[in-house]
Amino acid sequence: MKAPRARCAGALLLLALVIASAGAPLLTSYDPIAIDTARIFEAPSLAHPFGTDGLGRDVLARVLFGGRITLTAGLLATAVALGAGAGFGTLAGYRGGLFDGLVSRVADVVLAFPLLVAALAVLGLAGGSAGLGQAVRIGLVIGAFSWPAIFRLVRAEAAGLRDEGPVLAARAAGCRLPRIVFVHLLPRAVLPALAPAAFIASAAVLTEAGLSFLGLGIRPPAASWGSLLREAREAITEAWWLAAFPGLFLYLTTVACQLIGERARGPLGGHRIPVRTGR
Amino acid sequence: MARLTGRLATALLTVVVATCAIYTAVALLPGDPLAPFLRQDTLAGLSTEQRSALERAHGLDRPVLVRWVRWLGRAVQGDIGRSLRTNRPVADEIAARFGATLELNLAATLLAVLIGIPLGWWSAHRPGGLADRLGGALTLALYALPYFWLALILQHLFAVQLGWLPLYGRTPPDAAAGFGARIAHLTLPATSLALHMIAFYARFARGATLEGLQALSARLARALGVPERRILVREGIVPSLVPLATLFGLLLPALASGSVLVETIFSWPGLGSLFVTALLSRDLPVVLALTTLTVVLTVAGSVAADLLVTAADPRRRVSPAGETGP
Repeated sequence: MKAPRARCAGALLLLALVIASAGAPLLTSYDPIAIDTARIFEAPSLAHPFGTDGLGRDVLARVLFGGRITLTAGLLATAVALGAGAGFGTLAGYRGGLFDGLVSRVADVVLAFPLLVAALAVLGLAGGSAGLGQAVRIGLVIGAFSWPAIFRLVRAEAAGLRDEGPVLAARAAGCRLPRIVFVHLLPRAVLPALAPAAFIASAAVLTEAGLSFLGLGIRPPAASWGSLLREAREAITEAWWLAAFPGLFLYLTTVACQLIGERARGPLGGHRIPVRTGR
Repeated sequence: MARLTGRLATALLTVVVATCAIYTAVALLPGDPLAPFLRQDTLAGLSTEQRSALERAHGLDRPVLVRWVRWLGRAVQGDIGRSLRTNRPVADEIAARFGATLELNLAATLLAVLIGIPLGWWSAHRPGGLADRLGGALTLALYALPYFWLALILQHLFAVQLGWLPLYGRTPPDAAAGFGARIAHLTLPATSLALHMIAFYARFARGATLEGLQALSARLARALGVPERRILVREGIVPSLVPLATLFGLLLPALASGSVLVETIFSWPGLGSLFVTALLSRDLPVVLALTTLTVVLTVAGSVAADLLVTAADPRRRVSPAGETGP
């Protein structure tokens, strides 16, 4: 598939998933936490397209509402990573010197923590709350450990662009530092980091699901796709649909992200014109 | 040489700062400051005098940074405390489980290398061709795969439904059951772990090979009429071996906790499942030790990859490198 078409398909798929989760109450009339003991472990049917779980809860409703948690955490993490990475990266690339050295060392330290381990340690030890508040916390923690990848890309690009046309012109015109950095440099320096950000979103969504799967992410009765898989694990011999549908939605999300990021390996196979990093 | 020293110094600094961050974070956690030293039930029954005596004994009246320096000093000498859950030294706990994690990760890496790298080479031989498009679709599908979901499905299919392979657990190396049983136990967890890695290795191999094939020397060879197959091998595959070798730097951090989810699903008695058990029972000395170990191995892996590239590519010895490592 050609890169632009793939990216378009990915973006549409992701948008569809976000809309389905946000508009969950419009798509299903069931309450995701309403227990119905008369309908335990029902296979998918017209009344319950994704079946019911061990407490008779509608799986479609649980998957749609679960998407709110997983997607909130994943997209928030990406926004934090992109914001912090682009902000620090542009400033470090433009200013250089002590600030650059300091932030680069911090990025090195953060990169030394594998994402899942770091998130597990922080959230596992800090305890948690239920619901969207916890999703926001998970997103912030994942984002806090994801920004260095963006930072490195943006920093290199910003260092290469600092003496080029538009930025030079802005400096010559007497713009102040914040205006040069954030108005003239940042929008240009952030470009090579946009496609990789999709991979960060993919990793963030998987990390949230992994955390909740281990029981260290979202707390019941709220559910994310990860904690739905955790519940499914205990009943996998009786009810395959419990594992199949949350996993499928998770998979669709990561596929969408990978399609959006496709350009990163693009037609030239990850070839990028080398950026000037020296000063 | 100067570059080597600089690299090692940076790596050491990174590790020291990271342990400081981990230690401070654990120390500043909400909760009882004595929690890292005593079990929950013992803690509850303490009198005020016992409590303050214990706090003094553990140096808790000192600032966090002083405690961290002491902890680091003991850790360097090999004393990383006792597990609260089992009361055994943490070092023994880790040593007892390291073999299982090593076995799992080596098996998965072997699978990924044997399948992923040739797949990448095959994709690269004609960019945009049928093989490349098929390979691209396959790696995308594998890369996006939530591998713990896949592990659940494989477990259900092959262990529960078909009954071909054991549901979970590991045959210890010294067990009488023999080699066959070990492989049978290893198959599902290693496959679950490998599929993701296959996609990663394939993409990386493709990129590295294409880089060689688009270089000036490859274009010259093509212009001179050198057979396409020979160009692929000499200009693409052989030069791609150097960046590929750096990927083994990734194996090191995986050895500490890269297989947390797969180990948990298959009750594999390795470091990943130890980490989760320790987190769930708030066994702080074990959490602290394993997080530190992961950081040390991650940094060591990236230094090793860097040194390898420097050793293989003479140009890197003279000119300062930009970004290194994967």
